[in-house]
Amino acid sequence: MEQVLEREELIKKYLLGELAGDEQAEVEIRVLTDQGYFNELLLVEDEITDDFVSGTLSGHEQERTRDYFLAVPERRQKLKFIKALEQYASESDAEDTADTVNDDILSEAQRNRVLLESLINGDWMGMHLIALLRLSSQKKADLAVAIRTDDATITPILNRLILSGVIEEYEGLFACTELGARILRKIEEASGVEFTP
Amino acid sequence: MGFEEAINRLKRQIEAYDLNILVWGPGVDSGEHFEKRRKIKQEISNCFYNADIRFSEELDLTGILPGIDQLDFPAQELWHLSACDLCVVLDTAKGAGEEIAHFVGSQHAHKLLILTHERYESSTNFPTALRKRQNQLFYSDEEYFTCNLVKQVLTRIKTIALGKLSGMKV
Repeated sequence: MEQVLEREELIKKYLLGELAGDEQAEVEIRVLTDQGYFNELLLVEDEITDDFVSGTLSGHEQERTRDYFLAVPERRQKLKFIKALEQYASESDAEDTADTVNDDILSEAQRNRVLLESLINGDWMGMHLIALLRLSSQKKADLAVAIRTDDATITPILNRLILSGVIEEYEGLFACTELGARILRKIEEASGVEFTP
Repeated sequence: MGFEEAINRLKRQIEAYDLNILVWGPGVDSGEHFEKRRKIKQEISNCFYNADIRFSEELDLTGILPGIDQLDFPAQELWHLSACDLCVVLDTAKGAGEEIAHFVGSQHAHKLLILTHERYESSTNFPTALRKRQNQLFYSDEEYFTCNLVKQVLTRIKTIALGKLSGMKV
């Protein structure tokens, strides 16, 4: 057992480039000529990679792994794979216990989609209306004239904008809400397009 | 710049938006259903010319995620879902519900757009959360055979693009 540990330690030092020239050559020859020894080397390689990912190597070993051991492309590939697996495992664990959080995500995404769809609705008429209403409150008939459409066409579009909370109606007068102004500003900033007459 | 020109500029940005879209659904041996899936892909590509639209079976992530091919199938599909902005699922095949169930608990479930025939509206194949949050839409025969179903998909994609442009979770 002690011999195995010593051998593994020697291989580890070899993989981290910490052996003197003659020791290094000795290990290399054995790796090339002894299949069992080569298999042991592969196991030590896996251990170093696992310990590197989990951060259980000493500071010095961590440094040697980064600078020397991972200079070999195949080992970097292996490292990437292990990291991906670890991430997947931790995401899966989190997901198992996060049903309410996920419903929050679904619900937030749906709320945003409803809001944005109300702007796209009617070949982007919703966007045109909210941009007009940000300037000043208006009656439905005036809005219809401004965007060259009729009452029957504009009514469902306005209703959807009200439902999504970006505009409101008070005594026949339509106005842009704070939420509506904020969303419009966000879109303007992101797109570089300004909705001003 | 007038409103109309501003809106046209925004529309052009949305159509040019760089999106990753997956289209899941029946395979090539399923005849008309595969043809519909192919048509959905084609129509998306016509309207969003910078979008990368793939069937799930065409997607190969081994280049950026070495070893993904060693994971089981649901795990691979979860990676696919995490890599896309929208995943359109044409639900015509038996077992689709089971497949989707793997992803409902994930933080990427909001990217699903499942299209199911209205005759299955009362079925409990898919979790109700997806229906409630409009991640599952039901279509009639007429909508399936006309352009309406595709139209609904395109509207959803416009919304996704506008949301991503504005930094909103959609």
